[in-house]
Amino acid sequence: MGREEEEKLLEEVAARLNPPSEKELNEIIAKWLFGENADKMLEHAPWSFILVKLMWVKGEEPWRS
Amino acid sequence: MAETMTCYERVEAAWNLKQADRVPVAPMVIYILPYLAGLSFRDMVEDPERLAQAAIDHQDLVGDFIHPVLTMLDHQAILPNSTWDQVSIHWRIWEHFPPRGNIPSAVFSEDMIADYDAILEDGFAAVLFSRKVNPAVFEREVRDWLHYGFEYPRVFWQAWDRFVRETGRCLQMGARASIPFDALIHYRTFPLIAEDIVERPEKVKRACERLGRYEITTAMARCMVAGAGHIPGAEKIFLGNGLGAPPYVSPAVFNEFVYPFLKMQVDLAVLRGFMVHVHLDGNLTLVLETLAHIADGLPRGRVMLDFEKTDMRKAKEVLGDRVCIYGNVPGALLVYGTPQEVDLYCRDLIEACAGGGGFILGSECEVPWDAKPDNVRAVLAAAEKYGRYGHPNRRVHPTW
Repeated sequence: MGREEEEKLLEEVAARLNPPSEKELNEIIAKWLFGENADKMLEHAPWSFILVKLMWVKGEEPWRS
Repeated sequence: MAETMTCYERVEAAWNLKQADRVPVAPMVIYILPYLAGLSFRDMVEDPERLAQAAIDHQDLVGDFIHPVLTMLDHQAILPNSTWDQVSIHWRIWEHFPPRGNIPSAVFSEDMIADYDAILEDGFAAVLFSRKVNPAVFEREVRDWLHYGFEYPRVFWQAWDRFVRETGRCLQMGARASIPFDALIHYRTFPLIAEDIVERPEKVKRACERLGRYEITTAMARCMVAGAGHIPGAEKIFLGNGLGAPPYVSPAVFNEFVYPFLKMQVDLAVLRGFMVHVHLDGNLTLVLETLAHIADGLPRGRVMLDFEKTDMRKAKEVLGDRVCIYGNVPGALLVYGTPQEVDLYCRDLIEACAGGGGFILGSECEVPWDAKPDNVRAVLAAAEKYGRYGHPNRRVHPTW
């Protein structure tokens, strides 16, 4: 037991990890940030992000006051 | 007595419901270490090397694993992150620590999510653009956002990698995530969420499902940045629940709105090889039978339940052959008690929970920053004094 055993444990962990791919991660973040608009926001990224102005809460947009 | 296992081996044995050389111990020392080192909040945020050095300098207060003061990382994020992002809680105590007065927080005061339909259809970005967000949140320059969003995590984890290499301890986690109902309380406020579960329960559940997937998936990615598979403990996700459990919500609400999404998150992470440390503030004694199914369908040894006020004897009885349990020396005892009182409390806790393995001695939630260092040392000493497996003279439990 000791450092060698610890290295073995770490190797087992590394071997079984299946982290989200960049594509999966982008999709899940986009879904949370942009809701039903996520697919289109990603499809047209990065320039789609100039549309974030549309994300203001309805009725609270600064240009209304 | 000489240690025969590394900290990581010992902790892994406990997660796998096996007896290690002794009971693992890790009171959750977070802010107490930078406090003792005299760091300000700004120091903690801007200089992760000094933060990790504070932990190295005070490693006599650190058990088998350490909480890497992850709030310093999470709080800098612009994207929602474990409800410790810039939107839901905004600390402005840069030049001093501990805070003078209450920490300014949006919790309970502003409903950041005003309309579930808007959130589900147009997304959470609407919250970032809400006028209810404190304007101070957006005072940063673009270069700061870019730094804290994309560069700072790597600097942060380099510092904690050094801590692990120099001390031989492992990390408690590589990332945190929120249990979604708990996060919704922060964004919605307690009075409104209480109304929501009666007036619009299906919308609450849809929001929990969406938020739960977001939180756990991004946490898995953050674990990889932390060094999962290379740095001991970085493969663990700390899934935190502050208010979404009894006594703050009823057992019925926990079973309907909290547990199903907690189980979803645990399954998503474990089935992709990660481990989940479920941190449960409150008193979960009344829902232990529900929690007994948290690891159903999953490989053994990938889930641990971390209790604050829960009856640990009952938890051992209900969960002992299913998942590792972790807890729960009271914070008040660590602040106001004596080392002798702490010693006796730990002895009783070890006696009740450690038999057969599957127990880690820890604190209720975090160790308060003003706890007496000698009391923290008494917790660590108790694991050695009473928690040796296989040494008859040190046994306290008749069945060990």
